Order: sequence, then C-alpha cells, then structure tokens
Amino acid sequence: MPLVLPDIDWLTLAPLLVLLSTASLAALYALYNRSSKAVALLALLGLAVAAIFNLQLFVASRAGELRSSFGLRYLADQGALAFNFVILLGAALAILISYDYLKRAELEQPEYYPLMLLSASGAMVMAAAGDLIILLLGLEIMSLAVYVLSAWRQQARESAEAGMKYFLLGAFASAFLIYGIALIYGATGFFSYPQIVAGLLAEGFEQIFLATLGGIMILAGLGFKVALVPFHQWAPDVYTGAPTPVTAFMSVVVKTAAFAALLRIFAFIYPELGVLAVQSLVVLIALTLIVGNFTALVQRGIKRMLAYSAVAHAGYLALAVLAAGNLGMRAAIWYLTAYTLMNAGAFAVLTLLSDRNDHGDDLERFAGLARSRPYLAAAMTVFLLSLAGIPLLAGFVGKILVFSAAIEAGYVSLTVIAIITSVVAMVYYLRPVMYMYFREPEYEPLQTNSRSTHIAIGIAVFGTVLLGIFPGWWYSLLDLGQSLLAGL
Amino acid sequence: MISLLIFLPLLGAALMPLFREPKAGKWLALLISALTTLLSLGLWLGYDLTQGGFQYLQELPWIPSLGINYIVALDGLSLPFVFLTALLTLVSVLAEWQRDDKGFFGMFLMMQGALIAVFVALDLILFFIAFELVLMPMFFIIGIWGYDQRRYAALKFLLYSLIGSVFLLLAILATAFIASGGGMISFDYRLLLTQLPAIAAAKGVLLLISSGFLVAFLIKLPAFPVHTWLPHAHTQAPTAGSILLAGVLLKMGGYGIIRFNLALFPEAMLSLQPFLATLAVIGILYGGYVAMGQTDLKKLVAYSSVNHMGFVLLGIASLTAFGVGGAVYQMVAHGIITGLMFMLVGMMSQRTHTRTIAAMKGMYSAMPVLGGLMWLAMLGGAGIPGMAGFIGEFQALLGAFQNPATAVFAVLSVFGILINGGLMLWTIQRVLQGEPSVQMQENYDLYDLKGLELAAAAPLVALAVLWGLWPPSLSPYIDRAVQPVLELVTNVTKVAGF
Repeated sequence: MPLVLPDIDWLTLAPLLVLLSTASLAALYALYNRSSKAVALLALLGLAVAAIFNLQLFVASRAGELRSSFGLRYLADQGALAFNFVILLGAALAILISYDYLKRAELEQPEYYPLMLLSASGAMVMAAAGDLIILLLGLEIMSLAVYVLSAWRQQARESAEAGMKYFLLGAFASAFLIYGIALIYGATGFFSYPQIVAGLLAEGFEQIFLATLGGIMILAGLGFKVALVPFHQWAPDVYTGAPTPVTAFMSVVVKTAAFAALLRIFAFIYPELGVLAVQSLVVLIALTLIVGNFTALVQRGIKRMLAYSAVAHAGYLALAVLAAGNLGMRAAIWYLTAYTLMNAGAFAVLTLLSDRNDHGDDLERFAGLARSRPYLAAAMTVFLLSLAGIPLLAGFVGKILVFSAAIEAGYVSLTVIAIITSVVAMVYYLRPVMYMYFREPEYEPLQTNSRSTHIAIGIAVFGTVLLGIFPGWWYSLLDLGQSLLAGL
Repeated sequence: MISLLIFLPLLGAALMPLFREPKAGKWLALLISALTTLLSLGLWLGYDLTQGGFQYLQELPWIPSLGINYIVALDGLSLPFVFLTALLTLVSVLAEWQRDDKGFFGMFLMMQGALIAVFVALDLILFFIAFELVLMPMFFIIGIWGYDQRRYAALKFLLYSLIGSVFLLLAILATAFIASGGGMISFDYRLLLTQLPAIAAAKGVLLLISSGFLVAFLIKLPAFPVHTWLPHAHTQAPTAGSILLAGVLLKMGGYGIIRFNLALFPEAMLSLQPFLATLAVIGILYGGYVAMGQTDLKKLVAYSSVNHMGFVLLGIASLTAFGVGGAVYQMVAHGIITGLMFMLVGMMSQRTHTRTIAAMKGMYSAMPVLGGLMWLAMLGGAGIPGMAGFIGEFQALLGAFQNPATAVFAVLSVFGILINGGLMLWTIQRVLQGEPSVQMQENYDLYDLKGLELAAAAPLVALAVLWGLWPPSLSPYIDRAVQPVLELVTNVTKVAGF
C-alpha cells in the first residue's frame, strides 16, 4: 500500500510551530539555566516571530490567497489570522506583566513562560480549527496549561483552589463539548465543518434533533470557557485566586480563542441547526448581561469586579456571535482587540497596586491615587473608561460595532438589554475612578515599579486611545465577510 | 476653521500635563479661549445670512465602512451656541483666575472642545461622541473641585446624563438603520433629512425612536421630572463649572430637540406636543415655586433655571416659528444672564464665606459694583424688558399663544412669569438691600469687584443688554435656521389634515 502523506501546508502552520518549538526550547533551556529573564525574552521573541509569519499569511490572505492545512481542517483565513494577532498580543502583554510580578511574589520559575506559550498555541489552534476534533485538541492544549498557571502560587490556598476549581469545572465543560461533538458526529457522520453542513443539508436528513442537541452542548462547553451565565460560576473565584498576570492572560487569550471557535461554528453550522440552538444562546446572553453587570456592581474588590466585568463583556461579545453571519465576525474581532488591550492594561495596573500576595485590591486602596501616583491613576482611568464604553476610547467603538451588528441581524430587544445594562456597568467602572480622583489617600500607596509592566501599560494605553480615535484602519483590515466562508 | 474651534482647545487640554509650572495652565487656557472666542465671532460675522443653511462645511472620512464620518458645519442655530461656548469658557477662566491648578483648566478646555463639537456635528455618531465627551470633564470638575457633597453630585449628574445617552445611542442606531432601508448605512444628518419619508414610514417604532432622542435631551434641558440632578450639580460645582453648566450644557438639550426631534420626527413631535407642553408648564411653575423656598442662593438660581428652561420647552412645543425661535433666543439669553448670575453668586460667597440667603443682607451697600451687577442679572432673570431674557420669554409665550393647541399652556405659564418675577425681586430685597450684618462686616473683607472680575463680567453684561435692546443682531440668524425645520412640521400638519 502506498504511503499517503497528509495534506500539510507548512506556512499555514508556521505561527503555531514557532510557538510550539519556542515553548519546547524554552522548557529545555530552563532545565539547565534557571534564569527567568532569558526564558521570558525567548518567549517574547517566539511571539514576535510567530507574529511575523502571521503577518505574512495575513497579507497573503488579503491578496486572496486562502491557505489551509489537513484538508480544510486547519485554516489560515483572515478570521483565524486576525484572531492570531489578538492572541499573540494578549500573550505578549501577559508575559510583560508577569516578569517583575513573579520576582516580587517569589514565584519565579522559568517554566511559567513555556506554559503560557503552549496555552497561546492551543488558543491559535482553536481559532484556526475547521474541524471539531481540532477544536477539541486546541481547547485542551490551551486549558491544561492555564490550569497549571492558575495554581502557580502553590502555597496560597486561594490559588490552589483556583487551579483545582478551574480544572474540575473545565473537565465538565470539556465533557459537554465532547458529548456535543459526538452527537453531531452521530447525526451527520462528520467532524469537519463543511462536511457537517453538507450532511445537515443533505436530502432525507432526519437527525436534526440530535444535531441541535449537539450544538447546544458545544455551546455550553464553549460558554464555560468564555464565562457565559450560568456557566460563569468558576470565573470570580478563579480570577481572584490566580496570580494577577495569569488572570489577565485568562481573561483575554482564553476568551479570544473560545470566541473565535464559537464565531466560526455559529456562522457556519448553527444556521442549519434547529432554531433552539440559536434561541438558547439568546437566553444565555440576556442572563449574562444582567447577572454579570449587576453582580459586578456590588463587588468591593477590584479584581473580583473585573472578573464579573469579564463575564459581562462575554455577553456583549456573544451578541456579536449571534450576528456572526453578517457584521458580527468583524465586530467581534475588533471588540476582542480592544478588550485585550484595555483588560490586560487594567490587570497590569492592578499588579502594581496589590502587595505580593495579591491582596489589597479593595476600593480603599485606590483612594487618592491620582495624587500619589498620577500616571498610574490616569492609565487606570483610561482602561476603566474604555471598558465602560466612553467615546474616543476603544471600548466605545467596540460597543457601537457590536450593537449595530446585532441590530442589523434583528436582535433589537437583546441590544436594548445590552445598552441598558451598560449604564449599570458605568457605575462600577467609575467607582474606582471616583476613589482615585475624588478622595484623599487612606493608605500609603505601594511604590511598586516595574519596567516591563510599564511597557505593557504603555502599549495598552496607546492601543486603547489609538483604536478609540482612529478605529477605521483596523476595521477595514478585517474585511473578511466572504473570505471566511469561502475558506471553509 | 470650525475644526480649529474643536481641536485647539482639545490640543490645549492634551498639552496641560506637560507643563511644569501650574500657573502656565491658566495662561494657556486664557489664550486658547480668547482665540476661539474671536474666531467664533469671526465665523458668525462671516456667515452669509442671505444664503442660509450649513456653511463652513468640512467633511473627512472617519470610519467610512460604517458610514461614520467627520462632518462639521455651522448654521444659524449652532452659531450662537458656538460663540456662547467659547465666550463662557473665556469668562470662566477669568472668573477662576485665583486658581493655579492646570488640571482644572485642562478640563475646561476639553469641555469647550467637546461642547463646540456637539453644536457643529452633522454626523449623528460624531454628535453622540461629543455629547458623551462633555460629561467626563464636568464629572471631574464637580467631583474634584466641588464643595462638600461633590462626589454624590458628580455621580448623580453623570448617571442621569448617561441614562439619557443610552437611549440616544439606541435611537441613533435605529434611525440610521431604518433610513438606510437595507442599503449602505449612513449617519450623515443631511442624508437622513432626505430620507424623512423612509423614517416616517416606520410607524410602529417611530414614537419609540423619537422618544429615545427626547429622553436624552429632556434630561439635559432639564425638564420636570428629570431635573433633580441639576440643583445638586449646580450647588456642588465650583463657580466656573456652574457657569458652563447653566450657560451651555443645558442648551445641548434644547438644541438637540430642535435639531433632531423636530427635523427628523415631525409627526412624533406633533403627537407628543401636549405631553411636552405639560412638562414645560410644570417646569415653569414648579421650578419657580421651589426656587422660592430655597435658603441657598446658588440653589435658588439653579431652580430658577428649571423655570427658564420650561419656557424653552414651551416655545419648542408650540411648533410655531415664533415659539421655536423664542426658545433659541431664550436659551442664549439664559446662558448669558444665568452665567452672569452664577459668577456673581460665586464671587459673593467667596467674600462672605456663605451662600445662605439670610446671612447675605445688604450686599449692594457693601459692594456697589458687584451688587449693582447682581441687580441687573436678577432683573434680567425676571425677564424685564430691555434685557435679553425678555425677548426670548415673550417670543416663546407668543408662539405658544399662536398655536391653539398650546394656548392654554401659555395662559398657565404666565403665572410662572409672575412667580419668577416675584422670586427675583424678593431675592434682591433679601440679598442686596439693607445693610450687611455687623458680624459679616467685622469678620470678612467685603471688597468690591477687582479689575479682572469686572473684565469677566463685562462681556456678559454687555451682551445681556445688547440682545435685549437690539434683537436684530441675533434673531435673523435663528429664524433662518428654524424656518426650514418648521416647514417640515407644517408639511406633516397639512398631510395629516390639521
């Protein structure tokens, strides 16, 4: 029997392979040399090289060259590549935030960085997946690393609890996802998206109920990763318990990857499923927007508030998922870019304000910060106002894009809920701002400084403002309505 | 040119943190606000009245794929407000000259830029962005530099406004989508005006959408019952904050109703007419009545604003050329006169260390110039002939009388004039007349207005009198802009067979 080589396009896989080999190299290097600095730099270098390959692919795909590998199972269309940029950016910011933080918290072990790269590579696989099995593989690669990272502070109970909780509930979520995949496979006989759709549309197809149930299960599994209510229960504890840079990583990279996967299957498979599958997402979004925003309102700790705010933002993003076929995909990528910048930025500021055990993130610590650390306060204000959706900052444009996509797709009442709950959100985002500017200091602020964190904050501020004032260029680059489906 | 009016102040605000010297901030603010005042005056004088319409148009693509563009222009409706914004910023800077806080002046410049953008924006999203952007500096001005309860007042101000903005945003998106009719979406105001039939065809949601606009603007105006943020914001804000708040921020409401509600949703305005007129009358009577009961002078002025803004709403609700023109005139007049009033109250309380009316007896005899100007401002607030307030109020009332549908509301509002007049005279009696208490004379230095303070007050006094005695310098511009809008309304009336 002749050996049949699988259809492998190496350039398509290049960004992924770069990350994986950097991670392995860094892990090996760490065996001999315990210097965190070298490993962190190596990791950043890996991200940069991956970004360059990704850029090359992106330029090619904009020129109409649609690459894929493994027979349309691993895609390099514009959607996947744009998501890769967001993932790489999020990972780079997280590494920058981590470096001095780990030293300060005496958690410095070089293996930290390879784990982050591995997780990011899993995220990229999810964004590129054109096949349910590939999706599952990506999800597991990404999640396993994050489980370890969230328990990085081994001595602290909260961190161990965070890791354990995330792992257990994550296992549940994976089970849901696998069950859903199995059901869809059972109904159609295929794993890859185009074949599934073909199977669903085939004449005489009778297993629509089974397939719809599978779709709902997949939604539940991915809903867990992006923290849609009621699958969000893990988020506040894990976000609070994990070391702050890991929280930043989780809140941006993991969320981006899960949304990338969700958007793709929603744009492609869900329209062919029973109406129940879409309806269940509508219910989840409404719940997420209401519960996320109102629960964030009553939090005293900033980190926990940001955790619930992440839940709420999942709701806004999911709104774009609903409109995935139309403008939603573009809006979601744009929103995730903005979200990565402002959320990672907010967590970066938080690492400089909390003590080495991550304590002291309650509101009182923010009192009078504008006087004691004016630049840090100003940066935090930019991030919070952007998260709140104040104009001329990235978050506002993201909201406009998502809302108009949802209105165009006909989800007007859901958009109304989203807009009204965003007023509630204003209150909890502005509260820290009011503490920083309108109050006298109550504590002696920590004078923690860190060059790498400052760089991360600088990038995030610059990006948030730039995307807020000139949103057009990035949005026009995301011109992918047709190519996405054509690529499948 | 218009863009210069927006971006010069914004640039100034952005440069503020770079200065080492705290004093440099106010000099920069003075320079920029003086420049923009002159520039806006030049634009006004250069406006071609015979041609009318939008002039000095500037268009730049911003987010073309979403139909969002940078479009700014001036017409007779926006001209007075743009000038007012620049002038009142200049006056505010002068009134707060004793401060050496660059952040404070930076916030004022930022607010000035945003306010001007509100009045010149011809793209609905640009308008919305500016509308929201105005809030942030005011939030910080009240919250950082205000009085004891500043945090509460700042948050209340912001939340009320944000709730309005939310509905505004939703309504803007919905309007654009309906007008696009499934085609390329655009937020261009001029384009939307050509799509009026398409908008009007959306019968089911028309009232809902126009209410979205209306809620935001009524909160800003403010109309009863959403006025409750105003007294707090005013009493807690520093003097210059109050000047701009009363002078320009409230005007965004009236401007918005005329620009968007009247022009884009004439039918809806027609069916909401009784409702609006009722709110207006309640604002007029209730605002004046509550002002009577105030013991804090600043709060009294704040509530009298509710009364004045009631006339604005009544004029608009009349849907007559006289009424709407009067409403605009009244807004400009109120901006000048109440701005002056807040400034004088601020100067007075700075000297007496109190704002309690009962403690401020005999201010006129202690400080003749300050007291004299206060006389003038109070009488202007009461709407005596010869001052700008009279023209606006009178015209708005006349318009309301002209339309049979609102005549009865006009009759009721006349009592409001009575209340307001009584209020102002009574306040003059309590605050200005008589001799100051011995305690006050002994404890505080009741010095009269200094040169700089007089310079700050002078332009406002001059304009209050100029526009009181010589309306042709203002009203033709307003009428030129209001006429076409009202034609839209009249068309609807004809079609509906009224």
